[in-house]
Amino acid sequence: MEIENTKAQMRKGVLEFCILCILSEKDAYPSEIIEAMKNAKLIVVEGTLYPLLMRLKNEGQLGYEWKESTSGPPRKYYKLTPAGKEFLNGLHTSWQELVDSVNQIAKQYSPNTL
Amino acid sequence: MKKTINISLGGIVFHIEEDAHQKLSDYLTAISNSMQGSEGQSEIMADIEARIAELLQPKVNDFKQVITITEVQEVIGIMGDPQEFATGTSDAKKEEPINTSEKGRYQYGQRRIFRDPDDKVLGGVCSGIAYHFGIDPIWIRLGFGLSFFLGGFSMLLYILLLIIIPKARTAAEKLEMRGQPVDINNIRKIIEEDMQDFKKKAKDFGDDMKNWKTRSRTQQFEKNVGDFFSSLGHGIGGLVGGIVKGIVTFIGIILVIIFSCMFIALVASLWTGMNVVHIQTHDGHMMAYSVHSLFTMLAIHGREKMMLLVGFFLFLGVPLIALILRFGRAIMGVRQSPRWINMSLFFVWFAGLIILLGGTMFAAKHFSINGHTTDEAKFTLPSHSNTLYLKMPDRNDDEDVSVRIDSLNFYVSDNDLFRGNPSLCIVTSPDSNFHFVLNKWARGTNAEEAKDAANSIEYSFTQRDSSLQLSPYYQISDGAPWRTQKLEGVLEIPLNKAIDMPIGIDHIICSTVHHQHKHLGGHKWMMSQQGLVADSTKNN
Repeated sequence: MEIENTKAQMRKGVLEFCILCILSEKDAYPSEIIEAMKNAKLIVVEGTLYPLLMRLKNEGQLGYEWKESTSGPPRKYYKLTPAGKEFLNGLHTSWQELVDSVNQIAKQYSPNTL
Repeated sequence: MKKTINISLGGIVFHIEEDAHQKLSDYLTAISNSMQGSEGQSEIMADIEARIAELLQPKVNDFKQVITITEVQEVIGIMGDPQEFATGTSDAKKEEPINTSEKGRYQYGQRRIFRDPDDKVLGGVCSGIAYHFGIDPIWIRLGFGLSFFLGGFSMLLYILLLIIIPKARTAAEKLEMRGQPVDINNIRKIIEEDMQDFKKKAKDFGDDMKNWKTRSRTQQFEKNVGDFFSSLGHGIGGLVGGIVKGIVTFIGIILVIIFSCMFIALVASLWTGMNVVHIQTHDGHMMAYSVHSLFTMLAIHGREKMMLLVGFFLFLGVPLIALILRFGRAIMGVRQSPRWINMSLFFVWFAGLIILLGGTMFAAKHFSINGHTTDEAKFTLPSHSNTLYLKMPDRNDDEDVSVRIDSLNFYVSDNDLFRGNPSLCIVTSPDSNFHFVLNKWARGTNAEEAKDAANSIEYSFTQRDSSLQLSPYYQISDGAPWRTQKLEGVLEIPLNKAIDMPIGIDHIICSTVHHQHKHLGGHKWMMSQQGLVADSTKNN
């Protein structure tokens, strides 16, 4: 249970970054984003996504437009705003730095060396 | 066979079974609560509903048209814990949400009393109370169980509580019953518990509570200064509100106790032989009568008595019950009372009123007809005397009277016989003899009964030589009912004969032939053509 919790916390920290990455390639509606993230084993349940999308939208990183769907009601397609693109570039840089630092620490203090 | 409900989810219509609907709506409520106060809450909810609709749509077709609980559980599994929704938005962490109308009810840690449908023997009253006081239900059950054998009133109390306390139906109500905050983790817990065995879960409950407390404390530290001040203001407001609420609750409890005592007294006085009427006798003794003995004294039996008892009981008892329920609800923080209870209370009260009026009418019939009989006694004075000496003992000296209401001319003797003061008229005799005529009146259902009742009047007087001894009371013979019996004695005095009136007789003199003086008592009077005149002649 404890390890699951920690894992979930770690994933959550990078979810926003991943959403922005997925959307930088093409506009998508929530189910597509979920699909992509599920394939990457990033999310287990879908519920997590909606509040994140809403927050990114409220912060101005994302916008959306309604598009007709062939099956069922119209869908909400999310896309990056110019501000979102800039934000994502910044995140890319700091993500790289973070991965390097974390890897370094993880290697240096891994259980094997103790 | 199950009932289905039509719902619209994300713009699509679904047939859904009742239990599945309950679960889905609990789930959506849980999610909605988890995001309470966060920006764009309704928009997120719309997105989530649309997604759930999208997930459910492939599960129905022409052959399988109905959503069951299995599909709902599947979808919940895909969407995830309500908790997941909360952590995504930092806004949701705010302790005081903007939406106060709903939140006022769900103050954290505030308990409301509910009956527990998951842990019940009869109606879940005991376990609900146990949750309210944070003890094991077994103690409350033991208490109730034992008092069932000791007296009947705990049964009454149980039924009363069963009516007052509502059942915890939704997850939110179950949380309020346990005094847990209605937040997302706890709602999730309730939903999980619905699937698992409740009693097993209840054991871990204490631990969960501890966890929750530590978590909320760490969240408190994260609060900024603005939050601190707003919470300070909230705290002071809460303190004042708490004091006011405490006072109101206290008054409510007092009122419930008072009304309950009144109700118990009503039951006891009507249906047991408890003495209710206490009358102080003239010599300082207290005489006590039960309602039943009063009915016996008034000779009201059978149907009328039953109607009067039942009618009186409902007429007074139902409003008391209504008041007890009203304040009982207020104390327990239960707001609305079910309409059917109020309606049925009103109808029962109205029926009571009708029965009471009917009983009064039947009882009044016993007094509808007036009846009259007359006894006459004739006596002559010894030849050497022409004065009649009237004697009557002071009624105050009569030790035999236990109840005495002078103003109503109502007396009851020690052996429960009714008495009354006769009235006395003095008139001129048509012949040369003294006559003493007794006019007796009474009432009854018909003329015959009234006459019988009149005949039951017993009055004793003795004549010896030239004296006539009158009793200060008449009496109704043993076994005869009280029917407003009245006795009037008419003393006929021949012309030129005298009468000597004793002191203290004035109070029974009703009317008489003309006389100059106001008071007859203590003087001697001569019957003349003009009526009674003071007789100054010395007589042996």
